[in-house]
Amino acid sequence: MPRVLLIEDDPSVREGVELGLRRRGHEVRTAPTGEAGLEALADFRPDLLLLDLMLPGMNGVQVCHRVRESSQLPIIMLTARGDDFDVVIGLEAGADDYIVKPARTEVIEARIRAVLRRIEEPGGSRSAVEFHGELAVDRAGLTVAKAGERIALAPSEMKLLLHLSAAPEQVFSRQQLLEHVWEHSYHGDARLVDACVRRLRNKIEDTPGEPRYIQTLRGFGYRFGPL
Amino acid sequence: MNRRTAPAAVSAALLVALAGCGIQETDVVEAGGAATVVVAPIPESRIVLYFLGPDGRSMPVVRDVGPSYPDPSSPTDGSGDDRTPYDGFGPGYEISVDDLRGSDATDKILAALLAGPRENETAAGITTALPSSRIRGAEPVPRVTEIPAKTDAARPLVRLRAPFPVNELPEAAVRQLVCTTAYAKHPAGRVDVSVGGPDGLLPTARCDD
Amino acid sequence: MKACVGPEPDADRHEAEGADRASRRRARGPRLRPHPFGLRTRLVLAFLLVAAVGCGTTAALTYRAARNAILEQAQDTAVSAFREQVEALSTDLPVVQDSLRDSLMRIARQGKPHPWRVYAEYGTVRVSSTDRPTSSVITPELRARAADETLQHGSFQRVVKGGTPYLTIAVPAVFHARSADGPPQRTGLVFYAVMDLRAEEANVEAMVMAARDGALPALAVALVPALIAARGVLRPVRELRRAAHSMGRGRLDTRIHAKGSDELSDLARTFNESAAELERSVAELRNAEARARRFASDVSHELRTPLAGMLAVTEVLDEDADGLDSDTARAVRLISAETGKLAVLVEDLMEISRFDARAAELHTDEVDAADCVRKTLQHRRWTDPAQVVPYLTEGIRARLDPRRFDVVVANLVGNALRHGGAPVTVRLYAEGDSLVTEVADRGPGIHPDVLPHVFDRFFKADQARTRSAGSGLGLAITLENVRLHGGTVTAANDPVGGAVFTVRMPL
Repeated sequence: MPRVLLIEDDPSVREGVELGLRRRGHEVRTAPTGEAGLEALADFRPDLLLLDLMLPGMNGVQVCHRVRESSQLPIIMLTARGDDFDVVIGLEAGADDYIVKPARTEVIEARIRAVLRRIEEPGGSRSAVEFHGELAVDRAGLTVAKAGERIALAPSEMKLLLHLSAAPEQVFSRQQLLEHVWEHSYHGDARLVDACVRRLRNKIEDTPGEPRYIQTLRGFGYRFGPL
Repeated sequence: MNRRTAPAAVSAALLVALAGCGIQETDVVEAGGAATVVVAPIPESRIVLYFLGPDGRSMPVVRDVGPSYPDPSSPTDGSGDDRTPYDGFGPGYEISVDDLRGSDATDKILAALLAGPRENETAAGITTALPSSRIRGAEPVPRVTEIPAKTDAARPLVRLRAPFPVNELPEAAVRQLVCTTAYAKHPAGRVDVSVGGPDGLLPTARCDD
Repeated sequence: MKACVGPEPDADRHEAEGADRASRRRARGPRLRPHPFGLRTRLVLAFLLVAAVGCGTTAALTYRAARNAILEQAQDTAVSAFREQVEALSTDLPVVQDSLRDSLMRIARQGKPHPWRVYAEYGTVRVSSTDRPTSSVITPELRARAADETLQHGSFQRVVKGGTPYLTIAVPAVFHARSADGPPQRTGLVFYAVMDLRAEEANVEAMVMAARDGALPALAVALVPALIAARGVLRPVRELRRAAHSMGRGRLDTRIHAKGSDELSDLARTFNESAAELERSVAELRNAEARARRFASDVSHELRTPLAGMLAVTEVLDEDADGLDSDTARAVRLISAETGKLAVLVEDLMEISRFDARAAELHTDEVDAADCVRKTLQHRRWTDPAQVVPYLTEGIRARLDPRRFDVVVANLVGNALRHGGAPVTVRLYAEGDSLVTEVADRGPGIHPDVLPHVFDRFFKADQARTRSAGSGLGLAITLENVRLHGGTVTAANDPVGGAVFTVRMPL
């Protein structure tokens, strides 16, 4: 069972979510502030971070930035709908998904599982490492290198790249990507996709303004290549 | 002024303005007195007889009795009328300026009046309302007697006795007698005249009333 | 969701106030049409009228005075000159026609101010300075007056004959019988003079022309101050209208530049005061409304945090309820169920608050409309054809916010299933520039009295039922979502039976 670190300032939410997740077999550590959470990070070594955006002192977005500086730990933000702007900032800062409070434990757990789930291999016959231009994608080892240099990708970024590159030049709508990569409903928040594409482009494209690998088809969605 | 009366007022004003254009006829307008004309001959040598015009109004006739006549007693004068002695009445009845000096001058003037308008006068439409002396033939002339005024302020009263009945005389005829007598007696005609006849006496009258 | 139960199926339609309100407001735009008999025309006409009356009256009065002066001078000159001439005369009584004619000829030559014709009448004698013994211009009235014994006066009369104005003068001659002391005596001799006044008429006509030629330029000149005055009056009026119009469009800070101390600036000041008052009241109202909304928003925000904790543990309660004694178990399940409903209600309240605060954002994407609806139905597990029958036109690509469209469809279908009757048909088709989504049920329809209110918040058709399964905000949120897309949603009764909700959104 995954180890979850929950950073949440409100005691009732903290306790409620902790209780719910623990009942489902998760190992949960909680922290009431960002600072305490970051401290617990090294000590607890969680598989996933549940991060409330509204925190006293250091806020969730700052915590998110700090975590991404050193690791590709999966991050799910806890947010209230209506804090739309914060959601965008959090996604830009590197969060993989977000959950709108209040949420049932089953919903939270489903998201945790979705984020942690590895992309299924399309087939065992394929070679482990694919080359797309300067990009080397190792589907088995889940590593990506550009011009021989390894690129650190967050889980959502990795999954998006793997999904797109598995079918080069095929167009995926944002709704399709939400369903397949994030396991959201069809009507989920397309900003997840957009933010993730932006982050991915910043890491793999030569000039993010003129993408080669992740291309936009206005009105339809995204595709990988053609190079 | 509301909307309906405004155009009416304006059109009325314009109408007044337009109606005043050009020169209009007028009624008869009095303007100043009558014109005083000079009548020949000079007052000293003339007598004034009051006849009537064709409209029945008084119309004085001025006759020259001046010394210009060469012979006042000659049977003919410039007009060619035949003359009659002063005690006979007729259109040709003549008096001279000398006659006017006597006390009976008025009688003579009245005789001339009774004699009627002359031919040239008749031609101008002058008539008389007095009984014609011609028809009557020789009749006694009217006699005039003066009754002196009782006071200085009062006018002298002249009594005229006509040789014909006076009660039936028209007013114009009486006025002929009164005026002729008045101006014969007084230069400004300021006398009262009492006309009487065989049939009685008329109320005292004046010419300058 | 919404209770919309009605006994009678009715074809009544109620249009939810959507984009049509905006279009109606647009139709009530500024009416800048010209006014053929507007204030300007009337002011200018009034000015010209006053000027015309003024000019006309002045001209008429001046003209009359001048005409009378001209005529009086001519008449007085003529009458006195004529009398003078007559007085210089010497005559016999009765008159001697030849010498009288000579005298008349002499007088005729000395006519003043114009030549005249001179006539004399004496008894039946008629003498004149012309070849005709008497004049037809002389009226019987003048003759009668001249002949009057008691009125020994000169007199004159203006006569117009054959279009020519004449001055006729009559002067009776009098004399002193024997002495100048006595009163003047009537001689019966009357002198007449006839003078034509064409010269005076020409003068008078010249004056009329002058008055007319003066009045017309004066009217033209009056047009200038008339226009200036009209402008002076109309500018503030126009400004006032602009300001009123601007106020009507909601710009309550509109003010008029009020200067001067006339009635119009008084009006402008009054307008400004009223506008300030209105602005103040509206601001107060808005503040109050904003406070109320903020309060609702704050309340739901505050509720959300404890709910988040509670909702996370409802599963724990549900699972462990079986192990408790029956009363505790019922209580625990009740708390769990109501917590879930409360969470939905708070979520809906928050959504409505965002619409009220205009904070709701549209995240549009180009999607396949049929896909969108299908996914909504699948996601809600409305896949039983006995319950929901979709008739979806494939291949319509629409630009919409998928999440909001999902809410719209889900709310309408959920409402139909809850209050109408199965099977619920969902139709999707394009009509003109609109994407039409139609949700019809087989229920009893909506009562006509209820129809106008189905989109109201917390509206309950049946007052006895205080709570329904929904939050009571579902259709209100649907309406707001459709509006956000620039579309309309209508509720109606199908003549065949059942309620029909129709959503039209621009493609």
